[in-house]
Amino acid sequence: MMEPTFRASMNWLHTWFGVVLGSLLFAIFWMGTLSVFDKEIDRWMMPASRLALPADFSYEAMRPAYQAALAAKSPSVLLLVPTERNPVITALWRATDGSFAQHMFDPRSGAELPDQGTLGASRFIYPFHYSLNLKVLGLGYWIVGLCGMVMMALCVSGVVIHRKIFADFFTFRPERKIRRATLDLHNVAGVLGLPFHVVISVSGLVILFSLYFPSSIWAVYRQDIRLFGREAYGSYVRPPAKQAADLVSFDTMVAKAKSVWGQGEPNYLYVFHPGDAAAYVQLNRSSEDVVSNISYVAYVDGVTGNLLSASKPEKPAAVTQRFIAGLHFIQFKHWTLRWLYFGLGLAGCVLIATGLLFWEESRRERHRRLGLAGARVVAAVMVASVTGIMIATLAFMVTNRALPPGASAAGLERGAIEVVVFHLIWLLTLAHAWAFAGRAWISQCWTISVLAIAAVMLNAATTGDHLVRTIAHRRLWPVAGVDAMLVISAVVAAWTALRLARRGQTDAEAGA
Amino acid sequence: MTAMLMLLAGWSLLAASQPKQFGRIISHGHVPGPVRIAMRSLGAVLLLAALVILVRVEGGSFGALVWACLLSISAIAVALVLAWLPRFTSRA
Repeated sequence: MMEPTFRASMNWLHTWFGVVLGSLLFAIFWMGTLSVFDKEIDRWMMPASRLALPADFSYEAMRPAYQAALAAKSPSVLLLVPTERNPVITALWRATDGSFAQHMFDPRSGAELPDQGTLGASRFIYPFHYSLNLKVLGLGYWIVGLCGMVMMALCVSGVVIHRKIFADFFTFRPERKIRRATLDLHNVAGVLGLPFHVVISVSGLVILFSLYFPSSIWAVYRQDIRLFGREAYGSYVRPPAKQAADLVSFDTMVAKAKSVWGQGEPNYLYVFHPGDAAAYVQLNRSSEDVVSNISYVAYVDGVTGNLLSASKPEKPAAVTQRFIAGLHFIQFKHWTLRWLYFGLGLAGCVLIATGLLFWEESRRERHRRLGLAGARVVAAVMVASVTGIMIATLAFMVTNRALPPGASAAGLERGAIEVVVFHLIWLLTLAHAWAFAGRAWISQCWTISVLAIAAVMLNAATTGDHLVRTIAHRRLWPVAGVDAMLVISAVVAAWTALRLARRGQTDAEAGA
Repeated sequence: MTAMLMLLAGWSLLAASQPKQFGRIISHGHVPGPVRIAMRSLGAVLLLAALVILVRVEGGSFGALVWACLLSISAIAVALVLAWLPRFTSRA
């Protein structure tokens, strides 16, 4: 269908791309916003990891973790250095049966911590943000990439169709009719947060450039992806010597890498060929103190401790890509910025949710007149994609605290049960929204409120870390933050439910 | 903190200088032309001054990033406050 004017065609694009992909965009923004505090949610979901980072941390404390991987005969082991936000030594290795496992170790004693039986935020919520956890054919990445492109198109078309962008710059009139107030809020969240929305979508795409534009690498490097890695990021590879040897002190290796970097600490040590005479270790400089997600790598000989290779990405394209990626990853240590990103992420959620709501509200009468059955389905999908995903996320957290350690059911392990609950509950919210079309928003808001309070109480009951205690201890602040956010969400959701119910009543009286 | 206050003040001045908003806050009020221009320039100066402070305290890249994020957040905060203001001013 050809539209007569540019603005009208942009309007068409904005409306229909928004409706079709709005639900997915909300899911991506919601999970992305939560990922800003993924490590804090991890602490909440993994009580054994609520530790304080020792002030005199020695890298040698990582040796037990390395030896556990050696005993498992893994060809390589990735050791994550503990940080303030993630105060445990995390080791990832592939077992002989091919399974990939993650283990946590105490940063003081080096002793292994009991398995927490959860994927937590960093292995469920965060991957959901960029891949929807759809692994088949990498489909998730492509859908998220498409959503990122559409988000940019929506930002541009939204500005084009907004008639009075400067006159309405600060206009939000909650006292007006719900349709007008929704559009006001959509405009305020969209226009005032525009720089963030655009930058976050663009940078999201730039991070995965090699997936979306593989041709740029193929054209120059043909099929040799490793050569691209070597030239762009300075990778180093060598085969095992098939001779046993012990690994040199971790502190020695880190000192060697630091002598190249000048300043900064490593964020991970990647040991290749553990126990072999040709073992080598890749150390990556942490980007805690810079915006850019730098890839400043040093390779150290695992047996002699000599420097094998060190690289600093100096090619302008690689440096630019790492800076843009850094903008998105927020791996830097900056609490103000972390909270600002969280706030702006929520503004993005509000933007998408109000966009969906406005579409539904402005067409409600017409749909009713025409008796469109599809409209009811779309309305149900909208409820499920906004309040539904929040309920599912809360159910995920409640399950985490309600299940006893080591629980299993129907052949599923504890972590898998949590994931199943998340998806089942999400599906249930959709069924509920379809069945109770008129009142779904109100009852789902109440459900959010009840689940959020249940999560806080279950956390206090199962771990003893209630809000008073968590606020008093610095090491429990991440838990305090999550609990506080849960309480705030409960209050906001209850208030929204009350207001919606009251408004529904006055509307009904006005109609009678 | 200072930067946040300056941004809030700057946006508030810019917002209040808009005849539409001014009319909402002070019912049927009217802003004279020169006052409006003064409010707008002072608002803009405050916004830019916040950038200067942040860059000096936080360094170039972090300062600019914090400023860009605060710019959005403070503007949204001002918009939300403006939404509730008429209730209080009309009651008084």
